[in-house]
Amino acid sequence: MMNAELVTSDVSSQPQSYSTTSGVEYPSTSAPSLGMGSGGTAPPFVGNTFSQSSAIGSTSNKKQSIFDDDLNAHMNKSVSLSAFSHLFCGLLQYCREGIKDVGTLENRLSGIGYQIGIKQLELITHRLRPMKRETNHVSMLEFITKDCWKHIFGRLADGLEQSMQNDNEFFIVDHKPVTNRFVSLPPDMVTFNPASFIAGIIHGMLESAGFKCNVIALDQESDNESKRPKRTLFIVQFKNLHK
Amino acid sequence: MTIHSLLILSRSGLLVFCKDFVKHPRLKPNDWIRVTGIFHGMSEVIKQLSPLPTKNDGISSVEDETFRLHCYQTLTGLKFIVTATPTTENLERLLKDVYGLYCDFVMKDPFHKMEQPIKSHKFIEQLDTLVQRTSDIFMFPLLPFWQDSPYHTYFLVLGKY
Repeated sequence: MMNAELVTSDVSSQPQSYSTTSGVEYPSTSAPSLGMGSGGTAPPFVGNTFSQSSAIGSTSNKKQSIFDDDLNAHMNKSVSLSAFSHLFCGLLQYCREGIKDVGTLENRLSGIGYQIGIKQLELITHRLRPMKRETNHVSMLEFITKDCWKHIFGRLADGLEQSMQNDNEFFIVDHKPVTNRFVSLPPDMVTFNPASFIAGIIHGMLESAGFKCNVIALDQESDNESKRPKRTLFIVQFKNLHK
Repeated sequence: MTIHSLLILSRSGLLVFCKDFVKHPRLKPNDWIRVTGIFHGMSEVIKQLSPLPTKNDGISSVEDETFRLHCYQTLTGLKFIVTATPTTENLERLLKDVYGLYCDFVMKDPFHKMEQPIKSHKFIEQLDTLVQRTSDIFMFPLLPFWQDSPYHTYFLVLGKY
């Protein structure tokens, strides 16, 4: 009898105390959305069921800053292309400090993208399909080219291809990566590709999903014979792939 | 109806970009540096001489029987200068478009340094297409089918732009 009473009293008192403490001690900490789509094309995801949770514990009607908003509050908003380009320009200038070698620069840039990829995958799976985890590498790549691309860039990737020679090599095709749009390479750095930032994001997503791999960004010139436009390939090479 | 050359001066009057669309018989790149230096100096003097305190844009256009020069000065102090044949119109519009291209393809280029010559090849490509398009519009009334074609033909041509 005593135990039962204790349990019931605990259950009845728990929600109230929990909601008050969460309101005081944990003000909703959320990051603004990293959607980098061009202005006006918001990704058409609707129905964010979690957006109401920030109302718990907020008693005053004072206007809060965007940093106090819920995690999903900025889901349908996008960052302007200019703002992103200026930020990316600053990032690239920062990465170039004291570096002459193209390979080191690409590694550094893709390392920054790697950190973003890990966090973006968590955010996207939380927002879109919280109950599902991809275990197959092909469906994971499809998830990246469709859902993640749409979430980050506001559009789908232009293609996903498998290598003819290698079973564990895949190509993600993008005709106009947002990072390469305003960057003109000087003649001594022609081999450098700013899209290695995006390659880093893909790398981070795949590795945090449990697929060990290498990702390289490669520019492919236009091909007049097959009328193929200029495009950027993200070459994904999986390691230790079990079938 | 032709655009001859396009120049960009930095805030301190340095020539950071120079492109000749029509080859000039005598002027060489070094001469352009001298000419723009004089232009910048005169423009600064004229700013001081202006009787109106509110309008201080310096020289905005120079007209002659053989050519026409137009200068657009931005709020940040950059000068965009174009020279063209005297009958050319809408030069200010062209210069504003060039300024837009400059903001996009030069300012967002991480390999560009301020007050240094502009080398962004994407900017140069876009500039070429812009000037090409503008001169096409100017050339339009001179096209051979102007006189004897039905109206819809050149409405179609206009629709391209």
